Amino acid sequence: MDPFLISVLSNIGLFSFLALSAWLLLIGGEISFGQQAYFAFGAYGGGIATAVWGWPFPLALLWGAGLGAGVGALVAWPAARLSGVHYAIATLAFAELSRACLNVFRYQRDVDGYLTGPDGANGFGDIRWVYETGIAPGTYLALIAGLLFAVITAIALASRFNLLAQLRMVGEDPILAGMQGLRVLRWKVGAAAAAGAIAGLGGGLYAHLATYVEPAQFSVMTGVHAVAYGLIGGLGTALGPILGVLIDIGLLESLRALAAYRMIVFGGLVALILILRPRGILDESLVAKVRAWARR
Amino acid sequence: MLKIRDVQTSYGKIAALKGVSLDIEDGGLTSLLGPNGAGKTTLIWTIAGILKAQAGSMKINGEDILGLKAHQIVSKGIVTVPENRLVFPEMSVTDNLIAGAFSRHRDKGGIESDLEDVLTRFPRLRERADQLAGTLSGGEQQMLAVGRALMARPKILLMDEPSTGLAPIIVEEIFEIIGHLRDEGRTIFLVEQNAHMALKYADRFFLLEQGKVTFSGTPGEVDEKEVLERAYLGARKAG
Amino acid sequence: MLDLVQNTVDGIAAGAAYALLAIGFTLIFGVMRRLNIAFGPSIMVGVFLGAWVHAQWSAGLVGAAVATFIGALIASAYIERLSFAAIRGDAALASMASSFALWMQLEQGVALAFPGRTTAFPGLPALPDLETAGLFLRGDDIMILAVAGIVLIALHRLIYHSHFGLEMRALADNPEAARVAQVNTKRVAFLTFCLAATVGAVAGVLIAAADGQISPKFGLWATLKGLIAMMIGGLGSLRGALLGGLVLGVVEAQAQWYLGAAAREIIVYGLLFVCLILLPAGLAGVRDTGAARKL
Repeated sequence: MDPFLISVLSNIGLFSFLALSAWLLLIGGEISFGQQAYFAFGAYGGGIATAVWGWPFPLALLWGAGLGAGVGALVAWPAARLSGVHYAIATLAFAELSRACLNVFRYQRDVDGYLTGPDGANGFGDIRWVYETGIAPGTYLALIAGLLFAVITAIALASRFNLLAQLRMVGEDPILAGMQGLRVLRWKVGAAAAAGAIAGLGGGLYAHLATYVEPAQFSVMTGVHAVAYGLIGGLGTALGPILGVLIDIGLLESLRALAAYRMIVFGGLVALILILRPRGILDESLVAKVRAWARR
Repeated sequence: MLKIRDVQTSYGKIAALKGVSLDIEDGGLTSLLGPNGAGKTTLIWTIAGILKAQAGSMKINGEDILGLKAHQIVSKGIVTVPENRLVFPEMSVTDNLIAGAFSRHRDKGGIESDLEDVLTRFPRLRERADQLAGTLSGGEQQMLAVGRALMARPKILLMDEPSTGLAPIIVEEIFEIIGHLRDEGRTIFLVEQNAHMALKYADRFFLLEQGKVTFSGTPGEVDEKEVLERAYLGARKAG
Repeated sequence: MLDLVQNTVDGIAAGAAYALLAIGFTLIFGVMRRLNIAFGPSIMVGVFLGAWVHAQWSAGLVGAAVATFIGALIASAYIERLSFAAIRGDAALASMASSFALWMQLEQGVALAFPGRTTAFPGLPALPDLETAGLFLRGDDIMILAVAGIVLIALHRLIYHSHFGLEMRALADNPEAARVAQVNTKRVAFLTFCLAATVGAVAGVLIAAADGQISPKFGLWATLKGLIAMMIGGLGSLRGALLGGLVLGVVEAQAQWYLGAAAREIIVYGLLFVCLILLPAGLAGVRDTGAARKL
């Protein structure tokens, strides 16, 4: 496969983790501008695990996902009483706080004679596990795709067992959901943990592909993009945020002639789509129609 | 039997319920009437566990339920049909109904047959089973809310002003359904502005004025005209 | 001790600009119940237009300021039409996402039209610096405080002593009731956007002129400052926006002085996070009146 195509698809895959993470919270009724923080924790955590501590890769990924889940739940617990703009800005604040802390976070150890580890604003390089084990880009892409598929399958299973529907209820109307017997706080914190885990997993994968991460990469813009993908692609299904990523990054690559105008085109396209379909392309109404048709 | 004694609920410094006492007896329809602002919805939300009472007691068959949270109240079999937030608009009618059964943790068997029963009771909902609930008319949404409450296999049904915002002919339809439910022996606590309709179907009623119960009785025994006046306008001052 | 006071003085000047930005956000959120996250970039468009006019015709500060207002107004109208008026009332999330999309457009548009990290903007007229009791007030800061003060007084008169202000407040309090009371809600919404653009443009001119230059990062920067100030002060309150802006400015100045730039960021965002968790009503104590709001 053409190496450029592999690179683009890998990017789409990695951003999909972030977009799914934000989407899950949107379903639960919260806008989070801060999922990039858990992506960062997954990247830094996973990177430190392999590059500094010499852990095996799968364990490092698990560690990154776990960090994302843990911090996500920790933040969601006090923030759960907030809603709407308050919640959005609180998550933004936490993410920027994390980024500012990573800018001063230094943790370097001697590994095989080289000083390895995060060096504040100078970044964290030499996350070389993938290259030292000689994994080809194509294989890594298969890994990304496989894990993404696993996450989507998990979400589909949750849907099958009515878990996603309950989260949607909490998201649409927490008071009414409480009246149906749902424990709203548990659902909000649970969703935040799951979303944090997904973002953390993506972050770990990203760090090892890029081999270098720095705090500036995990910016507010990244976070707001993550939410936008779900809103554009559609809130009705987990495929929605992935569609959003495809439209953005896919558009970038296919319009290479217009690369300089990519955001202008993408921005205009999004604004127009949202006028026609305020809940995204694959919105709940479309998904309901598809389900009804499939039942026949 | 739900016994409510001297319940006081406040919003910050504003006391909405100033010591409410009433009984909701098993089987039959108990109605709470009263003018706007009397505290009727506040009482429902207090029983439902959404609001916390500052004083008083609420017991169901001797068991204390004051201070329990919303999901705990539901698990005791006390199910609410709220006013104005009737459905989950982005979910289909069927999904809304199934949502009502989520509180039945140990009773999962029979959800399918209960769904069938509800759809049979409300043929209009069966017609619209796959539609998004937000696209239903006001009366249909009210039916959906009642159907959803039934899916929870309630011991007591709390209904908050089901006639709100509905055309008179739809109101009659809804109340007919409520009447059927009462005839089946269910326990219903109905809070209503529309005192006339409520008195037609109630077995007994209470009048709430300014946060306190001021009157109680059965429709047969009382002067309906006087009750209606007080229910809509509040007690007349002496002289 | 003197440092503390000096920093406070410096911080208030910066805070005045932040307050204006926060007020812009608040005006739109108060009236439309939706967040326009493209507010910062719309001012940036104005400021860059001002820089361009100055570069072309040596228009000076006045010319640049006028161009800034015009640019900000056009950009705001664009956003209002596409992201707010065109999207149905209950889809607040869609408005926010749409305004973000337009932000991307505006930012790239500006970056393409003005390549280069910074572009020059005419400076503030040279006012003498004031020195009293060991405290130092820069001429620039005096100018900013004076202009911001005038704008705030004018805004107060507009909002609390004019018919249009009454319509705005009615719409902010209860949209349905306002409509029934014959308030032309669409017109008021549009004009509110224009008002926000004007206030923001003042902030933009002050900041750009004080710096003498502008960069495409201005859009994000102004958005963050405005949002933070608004939330610290209390969402939906103009008094809160003013208070929040001043507090932000002072906290930044103190943190920068005593602990340096990196710590300053940590403190500001930490403060914001803690504020939101512990004091969601903000410093102005704004309570949500219980209407089920969705954004």
